Amino acid sequence: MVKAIALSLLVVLVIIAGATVAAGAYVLSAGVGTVQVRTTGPEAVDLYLPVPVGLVDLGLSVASFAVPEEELAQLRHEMEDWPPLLESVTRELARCPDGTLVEVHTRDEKVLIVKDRGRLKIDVDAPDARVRVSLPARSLVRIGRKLDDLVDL
Amino acid sequence: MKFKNVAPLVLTALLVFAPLGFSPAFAASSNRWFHVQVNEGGHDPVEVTVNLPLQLIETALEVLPEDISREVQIELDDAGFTVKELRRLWQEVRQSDDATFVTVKSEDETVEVSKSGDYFLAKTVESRDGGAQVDVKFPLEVVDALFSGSEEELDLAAAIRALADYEGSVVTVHDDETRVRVWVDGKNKIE
Repeated sequence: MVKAIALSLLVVLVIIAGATVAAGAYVLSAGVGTVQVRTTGPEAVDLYLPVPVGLVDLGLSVASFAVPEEELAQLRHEMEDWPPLLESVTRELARCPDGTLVEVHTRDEKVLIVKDRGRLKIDVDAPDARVRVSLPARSLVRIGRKLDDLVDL
Repeated sequence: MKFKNVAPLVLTALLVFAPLGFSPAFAASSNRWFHVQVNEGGHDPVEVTVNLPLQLIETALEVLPEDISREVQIELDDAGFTVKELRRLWQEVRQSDDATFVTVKSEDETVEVSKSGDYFLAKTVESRDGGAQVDVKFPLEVVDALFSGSEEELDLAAAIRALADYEGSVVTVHDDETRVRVWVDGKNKIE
């Protein structure tokens, strides 16, 4: 009897562990984006946030049945024809060769958008803030596709 | 050919190509890049560089939202032209020999539109000191591709595909404070 209970518990634990590993693998398979924000001033912020892109993916999947229908309808109306464009652009961004895509310099600010070794990097430098965003380029494709699916429902 | 008939052609071409570097068939060659460089001096200097693979622009144009396509149509309507009329005008230009079609000199500027070799050229020079000079140079094949679509539509994606075979400047603008250059080549950065 005790043996049967112990065995059952073991099976449940293995299932839970397996599901956790699978979920983690799914979330991490989309890669990890990073966001770093540093501001100056009296309410200075120094933030570094790694974001598993798979979570964004999951979130968009859940949104289709978790978000109220009228809000989804509003979203679809506002986005209209844009999702195919987003999906196409993100797909091409993931495929295109490395390079500096956009660079802006003014007297006080600098913005850089670069594709580098499979990652899309956005750097913003201003007198009172520094922002660094880095995303796996392939993750943009998944997000673009998810948005397209969400709007198409 | 009067200037007022040709100006919409030039305006359309500028309208099509100027925003392409910012605002997506088979793809253009993946190693062709569209570059925009802006250097503005003065009190608040600005430098902007945009480098985009032509393939990305072509793909985006294939699925351009209708409201963007409508904007192009509205601009043409404001100029008093339909795509059909512009296409007919272009066919006349295409079949003609190299020539300067239009030269307009006013108090403020001089505008010249011509065809030379494989290119359609437009040049505008402002009369004032330090005034802007705009040079537009489109390969004839690119404009052919632009008009290769349906009767009432411009085929922007086809124009980008045709641009992949070209290397060099498409638009340059300069005055005493600003330099703008739009060009195509095979490099993923500006050297």
